[in-house]
Amino acid sequence: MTTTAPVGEKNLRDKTSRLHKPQRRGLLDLGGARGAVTAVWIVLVLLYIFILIFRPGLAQLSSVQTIVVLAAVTAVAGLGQGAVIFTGGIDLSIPWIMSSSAIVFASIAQGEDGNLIVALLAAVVIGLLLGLANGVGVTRFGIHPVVMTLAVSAILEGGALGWTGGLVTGSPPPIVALFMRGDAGSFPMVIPALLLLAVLVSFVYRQTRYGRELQAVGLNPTASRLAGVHSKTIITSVYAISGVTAALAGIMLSGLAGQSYLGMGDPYLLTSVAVVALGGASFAGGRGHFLGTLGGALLLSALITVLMTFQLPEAIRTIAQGSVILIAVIAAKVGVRPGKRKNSDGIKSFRRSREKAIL
Amino acid sequence: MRALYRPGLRLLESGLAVPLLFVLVLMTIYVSASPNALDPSQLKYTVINASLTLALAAAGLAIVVLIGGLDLSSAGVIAVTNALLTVNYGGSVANQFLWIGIAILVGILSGLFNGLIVHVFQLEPVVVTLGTSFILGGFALLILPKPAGLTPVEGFSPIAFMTSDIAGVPIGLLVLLTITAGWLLMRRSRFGSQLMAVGSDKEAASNSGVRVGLVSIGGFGVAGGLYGLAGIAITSQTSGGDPNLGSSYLLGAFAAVVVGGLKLGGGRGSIIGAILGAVAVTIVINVLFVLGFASFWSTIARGVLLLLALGVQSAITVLLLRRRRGQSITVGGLS
Repeated sequence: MTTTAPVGEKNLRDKTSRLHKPQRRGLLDLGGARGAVTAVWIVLVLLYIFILIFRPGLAQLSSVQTIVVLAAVTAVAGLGQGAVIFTGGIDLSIPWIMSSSAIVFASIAQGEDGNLIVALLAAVVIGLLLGLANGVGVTRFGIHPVVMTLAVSAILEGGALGWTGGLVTGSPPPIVALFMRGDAGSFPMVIPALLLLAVLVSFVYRQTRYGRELQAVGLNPTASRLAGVHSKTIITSVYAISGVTAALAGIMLSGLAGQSYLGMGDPYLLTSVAVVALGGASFAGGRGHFLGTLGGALLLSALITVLMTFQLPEAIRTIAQGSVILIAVIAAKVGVRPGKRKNSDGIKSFRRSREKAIL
Repeated sequence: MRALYRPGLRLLESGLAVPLLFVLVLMTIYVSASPNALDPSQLKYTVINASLTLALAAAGLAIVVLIGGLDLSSAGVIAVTNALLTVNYGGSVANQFLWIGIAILVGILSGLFNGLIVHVFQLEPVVVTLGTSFILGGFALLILPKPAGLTPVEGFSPIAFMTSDIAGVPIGLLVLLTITAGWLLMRRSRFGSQLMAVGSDKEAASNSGVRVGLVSIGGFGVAGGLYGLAGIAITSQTSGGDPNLGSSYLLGAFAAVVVGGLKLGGGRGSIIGAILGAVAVTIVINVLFVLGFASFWSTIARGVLLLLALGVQSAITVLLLRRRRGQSITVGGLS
């Protein structure tokens, strides 16, 4: 606030702030998702204890590393999905943005480290443009997010098949594989990078103007537009972010797999939505945080690895992931209800204290 | 005011003009590209039977769209019913009918499950149906791990009957006409008008005594039953099963619903539109095939058609709105 408030109002604010304890404003203020995010990390710890007791082989450093690296791809894809879901939309084009940008990445890089920058830029720009196309369709033409992203996904699917002719072309540079898998015995750099990303996203979400405006749009697009936020631009940007993160996830996956191929992103439609759901996000928008998505990605990755040790067919894995989505959204919904009441109590107590201050 | 009752404008308002136009224009292109396309047997294979599965899936999706929801579970239901039929079908006629009944029942039950979860927990239908779709797809993979053919049946087989004909009239056409008649009856029934009321304005419907929850759960159930029928139709068409087949119908069903003039968000459109939309989508694919385009173009075409139809439909809405404004009639609900 740069404008000087009238004296009376200033006094009032001083009084109310003393009466009403201000909320925490640090990086860890997760808004409405606090309970769900805490819950997902607690479940993760419980699952780790379960693994320690029943599957000690999985608790080794190398296995844990694999679980985290697999989770990193899902978490990056889930970052964009989560941002879109935060505004009440959904992005069904993530799998094919992943596949097509990974294919472009591999065919430009041709397995040479020297081509890394060009290939990376090309793939990210493709993701950005596709995401922007989604965003413009949704905000400027008023197309439903499901329809818009489904259409883009279909165009990409056909386009990728036509462009490659179904063949595997090119290969990702070795440095990406090193980044994802690490050298024999060494630590893959993707894990610290993921931590850095989590800190960065938390910072942007909480401390920057963009993050605040995004929260406002997620909670109530109309009200935030009336308050002077460019809602449409914010929503468009969210789809662009989703396009870029999908491209990055595709590149990470191609590093992990050692090649890019058609349909490599297919499983990520389910997993990107599942990890956001596990993170306690509301699919009507306005609630969710990347720390929840990250916890959800680690949890899902660990869960799948545990399931794999039971030698179950792949079909069971799909069923389990589908059930995880349903259980997570139901649990988040049921768990949030008392929280909401608390929130409105808080507003009431604030009003009461304000009335007192005026009197 | 009188102008509103002119048949042309009424057609435009019902949203059926666009799918009819699409079908006519595409059919003209198709016939000019492949002259014997109007031959009855050709028509049966390339238009009626080829669009039967899609039309049934689109009709199901249309019901959910009419009540203001979205349903991604068609792929899962089609996959699981297709797998169930492929593995268990055969034996006596009674047994065959039993499994057809089971397939429809599975569809209805999964639809009711979707509706129940969406309503009881007040969740977004998109995420719930995405979850159930994958669960059902997983079950399909469990039942039928890899594509297989249908065991041939001695004598009468209701599944093969679905894509054959009586005295030159394709059964597929009769199925679609039955669905259309069912829709027209339902539209005039209490359930039908409640369905439209819920889709137009949930709160107003609830205030006027409509039990919104029951109606939307019922709508999801009917949609599931239609997906089950679509699963039977695809089994009949390919006389085999493929656990990964369902996913291509998801995009097609959305394209058909949008071409068919249904308003996403509910309350406007009809199942007839969705069926016509499905026929239009199928003819587009036929035209591309006849013109010698590679198969990947048909996927692209479905996506482009989806966006194109949206553009045409919204242009018509704007046109109607402007006309009405000129007559100074207040418009509610069209925004």
